[in-house]
Amino acid sequence: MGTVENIQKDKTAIRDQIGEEPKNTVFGLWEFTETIRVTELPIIIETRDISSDTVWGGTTWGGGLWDSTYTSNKVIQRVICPNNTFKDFLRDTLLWDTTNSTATFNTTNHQISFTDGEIAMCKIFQNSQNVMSALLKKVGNVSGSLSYHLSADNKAHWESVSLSNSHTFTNAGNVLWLKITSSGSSQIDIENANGLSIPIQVSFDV
Amino acid sequence: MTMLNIGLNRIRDLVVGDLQKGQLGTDGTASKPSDTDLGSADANAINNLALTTSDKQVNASYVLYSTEGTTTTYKEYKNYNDDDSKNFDRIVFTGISFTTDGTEDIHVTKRYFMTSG
Repeated sequence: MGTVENIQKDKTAIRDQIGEEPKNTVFGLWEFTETIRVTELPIIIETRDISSDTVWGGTTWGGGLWDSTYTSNKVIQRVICPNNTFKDFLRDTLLWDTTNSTATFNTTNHQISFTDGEIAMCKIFQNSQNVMSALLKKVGNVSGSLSYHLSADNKAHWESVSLSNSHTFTNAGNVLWLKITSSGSSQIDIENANGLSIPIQVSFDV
Repeated sequence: MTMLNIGLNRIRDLVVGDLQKGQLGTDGTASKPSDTDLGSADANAINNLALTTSDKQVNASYVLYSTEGTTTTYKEYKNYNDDDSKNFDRIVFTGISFTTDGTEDIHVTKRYFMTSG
């Protein structure tokens, strides 16, 4: 009995403090955080044939040349993307085919500039597994009109794709390329006006 | 609140200061975050990294010269700090044949980009 009386007293005391029709009050705790990521970009494994280079050029007997003037260029053997996701921020052109692309690359301002009909091609993946499907997710900040193609069979067949739409390849293969074609003048900027980096990004399934 | 690009470049420089060497190995078992080392590291395939930076990015380049390594098929690679032998990463790929005192060098380029958001 004493307990019930105490509860009744408590109810009365609370009612006296907050009134008959109390307003709901929500207390919130906001925590502001920012994530800092160290993003792994595709790893590139190359070989160089040094059979035509003389031993006199070696930093060690038979090793790298003193003057770095090799007869043969390096040849890409593997491009491995973390989680099968390719990202590039145009700090270099290591995976861009600068020989057969006609667009202008600017790795200082992280841009690709196109005039009408110019193209830019980039190797996305190279390993033994066949690429079955891919998704072109981002191409930086685009001004102008660009169209996109992917090739999973090392440029033998180009298949039209659009941003943010998954594409299943008719011609599967184990060397994936992206081709960007401009209608009129266009430009890709990796950095937006506030200096935020938006990569060129392709994810794929093998 | 904004993480500034100059702040990201300071983090980039911390990464640069910690990366030292690269190494190839022969185990093709799939990599996972809990790995602590290569599956089967080649003690003859350790070399210093050449490190270059650009805005928010680190490029780490490794070369195994034709006179080095072991005659084998390499299937994995890591970057690491030689002071405490702690590793950054482990990358597994379809094997690349290599012959010691053969006719080919192997070049590996690993790039890291600092982002926020």
